[in-house]
Amino acid sequence: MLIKTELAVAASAMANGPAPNQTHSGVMRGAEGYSASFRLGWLSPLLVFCALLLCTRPAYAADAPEEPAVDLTQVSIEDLMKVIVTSVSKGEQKLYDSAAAVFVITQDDIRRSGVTSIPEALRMVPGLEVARIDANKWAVSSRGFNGRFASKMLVLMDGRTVYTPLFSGVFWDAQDTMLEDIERIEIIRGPGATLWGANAVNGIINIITKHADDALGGLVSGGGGTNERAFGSVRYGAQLGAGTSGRVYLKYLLRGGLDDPQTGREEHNGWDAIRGGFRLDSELAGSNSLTLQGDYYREQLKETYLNPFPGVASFDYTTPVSGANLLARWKRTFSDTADMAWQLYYDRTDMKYAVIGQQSNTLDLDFQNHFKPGGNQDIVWGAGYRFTHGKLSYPLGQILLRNSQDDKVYSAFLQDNVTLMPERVQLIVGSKFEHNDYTGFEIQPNARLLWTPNHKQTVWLSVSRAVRTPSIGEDSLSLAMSGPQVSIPPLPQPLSSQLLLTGSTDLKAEELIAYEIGYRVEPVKRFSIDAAAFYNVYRRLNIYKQGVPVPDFTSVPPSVVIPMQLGNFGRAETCGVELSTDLKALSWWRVRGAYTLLRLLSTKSEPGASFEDVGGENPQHQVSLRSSMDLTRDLDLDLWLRYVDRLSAFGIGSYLTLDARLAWRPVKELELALVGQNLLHDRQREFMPQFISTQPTAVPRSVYGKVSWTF
Amino acid sequence: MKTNQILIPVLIASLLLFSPICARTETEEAGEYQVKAAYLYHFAKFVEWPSEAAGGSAPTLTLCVLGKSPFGKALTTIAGKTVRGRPVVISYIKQVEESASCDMLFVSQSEKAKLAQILSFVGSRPILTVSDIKRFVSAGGMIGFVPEKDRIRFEINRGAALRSGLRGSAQLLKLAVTVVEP
Repeated sequence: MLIKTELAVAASAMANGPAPNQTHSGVMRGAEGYSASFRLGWLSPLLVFCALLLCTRPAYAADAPEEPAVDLTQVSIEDLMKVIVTSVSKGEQKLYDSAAAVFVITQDDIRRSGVTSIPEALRMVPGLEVARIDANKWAVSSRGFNGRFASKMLVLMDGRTVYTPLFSGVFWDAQDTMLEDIERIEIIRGPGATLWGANAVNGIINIITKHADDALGGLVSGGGGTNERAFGSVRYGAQLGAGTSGRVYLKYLLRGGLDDPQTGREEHNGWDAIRGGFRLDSELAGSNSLTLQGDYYREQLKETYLNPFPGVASFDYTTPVSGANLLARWKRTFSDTADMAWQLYYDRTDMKYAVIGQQSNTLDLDFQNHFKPGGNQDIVWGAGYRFTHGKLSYPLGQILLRNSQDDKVYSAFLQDNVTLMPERVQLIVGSKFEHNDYTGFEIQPNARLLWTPNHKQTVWLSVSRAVRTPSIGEDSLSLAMSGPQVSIPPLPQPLSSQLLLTGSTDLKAEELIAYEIGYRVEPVKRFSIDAAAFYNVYRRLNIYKQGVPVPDFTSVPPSVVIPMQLGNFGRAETCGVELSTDLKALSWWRVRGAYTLLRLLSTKSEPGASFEDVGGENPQHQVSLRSSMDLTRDLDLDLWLRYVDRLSAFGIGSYLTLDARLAWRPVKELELALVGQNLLHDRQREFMPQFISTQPTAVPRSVYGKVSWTF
Repeated sequence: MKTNQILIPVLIASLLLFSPICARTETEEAGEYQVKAAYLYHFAKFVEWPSEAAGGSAPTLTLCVLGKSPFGKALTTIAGKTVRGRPVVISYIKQVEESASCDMLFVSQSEKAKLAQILSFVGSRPILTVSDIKRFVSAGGMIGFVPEKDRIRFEINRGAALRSGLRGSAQLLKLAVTVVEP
């Protein structure tokens, strides 16, 4: 929720200066084996931060918030425009001074990285794992538990939640807009449950588009290449009257399928999408502002199903997907420290996969209020109601869930930001109270402490509880899948088996208690480091418990049915370190690094229940290194090197890859860009389909060109 | 695992080691409000007030800062400097009603909520309004600072300036990122 973002920022910023496979025991042992070496590995970055803290403190002991008065009046106005400002803009500053692990992707980052979709842009964020399953499917997750239906991360687009309550996850193909009109993407790793509510367990991604005033005029862009077959978009924004402006956009894309990992042949997983939308922003008298926005999209996703169910052969399919949304927001600012906002939206999605069809209609109303009751307190509170009506269909008759479902969620939250020492120490405490139809009443509190020893350093600590509520998929699932061959002693031949997966209506919410610590420092001018470390304890994780196999002699040939019952049978502990660095090496050269360490410390499950190989589905180490060079005023060169550790669960080895972008602006209004992606390999596997068996693919080396014209 | 254990520390170490070596100054750098203070001085030089055109201007050029000043000591560098023979005087005010004697009015971020009221009070008085509040120019202000990467640029509302009888030089208009004329 955009409004919540702003408030989260406002609330946390007072800080002055200053957010399924089987378990293999071998892998489990592996995980335990690592933990000893890990403890040291985990400590060493912390020791580095402590060393930095000690080293830098004396340097800023003088702590002069007042910069020395430098006389720039003799500098000509033309030269003044070239002077680099050493402090970042206000909004960004506030976010970076919040008591949470926050990362911001700016419009400039999106443009210069050459990415063509939102999930691809997320690869630059420490703590996130982004992998492509095929051309139209992604696995994106924060701090582990990745998968196509990664369920522990909340994604918002301009305040509208795009986490699907029916499948617990995000369909990334549908989360798109005109990339040029995105103002920024804010990513908060770790629980953000107090302000955002259920399912913001491991992180929140907040995609924020530009205010209509900031996207005036026309923009036409288009291009194509080896995998990005063709794309084009048009936007026009105009001032519609005093204080009111608006824009409309239309975007089309056609993408080729990713390759067969062995042969390199393009497979049947390409797609095309068309979408359009508008945004109106109006500043009314009396400090009221109004926003009205909406989008509509249609997609055709090609897919190949590989023996998805027992007795069902492999087949190709084209899935139609469509959706629409309309959002209105009214914000009233009473003073610098008090405001309130109302937000109402309607969202519809309709997708007809070969194995399951889903249509959902959501209505969501949110209110929030921010005020300062007294000297050192700053309070944000709010309430919300969400109603979702879902309709499901099962074309193949293999998955069975309820045919329709109405979900109602009532929620309220309260957060107080207490200044313990002005401009130095703040305590942020709050809780969300939520009632949902599956698990009833949930309380999600958190406490955060923010210490700003001087304007170059920030230290924060937090403890929070977050929950993920079950979805209809877990609640009423009944699904038969092909299982392994089973030998039954008197019979000479092993029998084929079927796994019968069954959901449960007695599921409780999955729970996380997270302990986090963070440190931000600018040890030398134009170089900054942002580090965060966490220790997460998960309880009541949903995993399957195997029941007693039942031979079925009525089928020909005879087979065995293995019942698998879903329940809150698992516990897990993870920990990790995330580091991001920003070096403005020269006025024309900036280098940014991101490092992610993620360790699964332990998993425990009830007898008979088994974990998927969750440790082997996430890379333990990831590194991203981005270099942005302004070769001349009109020529940009960007290089992006990424290292991803092996995924043992999928048999994918570690890999290093490179993207490059060269852009030239012959005149101010025109930009020509040439982008190469995944340049170091002919093709690279990044992930594997889980649960629903679609064809595995590899990402090929690709090149595309793009022309953008503004008027 | 072996390669990781070597590769990762090497990457990180090179990143860390690289930094101080590369972090040498090349282009000029300054604090945000030092730059903005210098801009204010230049704006005064590039704008002609109606009283000046008529030959009846006050002996001093008064720059008022409305609300909580973000400038720190930065304005001391322009106080006393002369613009067409008129020394610049800095005045800090709390209410827009105190702006009668101001030639230039800088509206601080603290006044964001009261912006509409402030601009309607200024109306067509010959006061050059400047601010770094977002969308200041589209709200009816005359010159708005806009961040552009690490640099600071500005936009101009030519219509608002003309209605107040202020005349900006062609050079100033040319240097603005955008010029709106509502």
